[in-house]
Amino acid sequence: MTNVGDQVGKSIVHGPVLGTAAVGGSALATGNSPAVPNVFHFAQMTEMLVEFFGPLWFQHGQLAVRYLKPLKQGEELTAKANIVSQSDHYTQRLELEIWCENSGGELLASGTASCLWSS
Amino acid sequence: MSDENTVALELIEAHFNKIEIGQFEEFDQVITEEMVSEYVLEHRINWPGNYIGTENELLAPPGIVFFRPAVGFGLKEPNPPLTRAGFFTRTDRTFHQPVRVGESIRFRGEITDKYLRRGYYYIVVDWTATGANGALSANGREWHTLGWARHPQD
Repeated sequence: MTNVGDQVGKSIVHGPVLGTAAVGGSALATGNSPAVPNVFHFAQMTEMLVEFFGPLWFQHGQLAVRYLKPLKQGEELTAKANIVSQSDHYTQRLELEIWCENSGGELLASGTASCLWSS
Repeated sequence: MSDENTVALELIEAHFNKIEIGQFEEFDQVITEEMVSEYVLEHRINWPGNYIGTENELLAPPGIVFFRPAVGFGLKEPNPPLTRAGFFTRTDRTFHQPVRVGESIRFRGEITDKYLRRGYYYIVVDWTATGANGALSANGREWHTLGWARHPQD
């Protein structure tokens, strides 16, 4: 593993990933394409974070997200994050800004994440 | 708004009024390989990929380990579709230990708030997932609507 401080400023991306799952009732409510459940957004963000942090994510990962807009069935979603800081000089915890967007660049979800870089 | 929406709203509102802050549900659930296989297919997760533990055991993706507010506290069948499921508006989750495929997890979810906002009935659920070893695997807070029906906007 590289030094924790070297990670700050890096960006990570996962996707685009095609959303095909649908929520029962969503088509009735929206009157058009059924929405993909927001758990899909969460799944893509955690997939990206597991890829980046490895096994440490399972023990030290934290993710807080607000869902802003549903992904329509058949649309693609991309998860992105910027590593913005190290919690403090004494810990190996990194803090990230994280978000999801559709292929048109519309923001679908945004939040923060953090995880230890090394234990 | 359609008659369908109006009927659904009446059912949801009656259910919302019955829900009490502090109410909780607790149950055990085995995270089976079938559940994980279905989840990774639906969410296009590269599994097992990075989801192999230190003893070569298969791990569940973190996104599958949470208390589902609609399952725990929502209206169920035979109620109409607009009353069931609903959607997450916010999620805050922390992970403490990997969950193995085949592991039995004790889920506990508690209603910590409820409100009507922008036409939707919401519940807030604080939850824990405790592993077979008795240690906390994950915990979190979910903000979730009761169903898809909503009051007409002004």
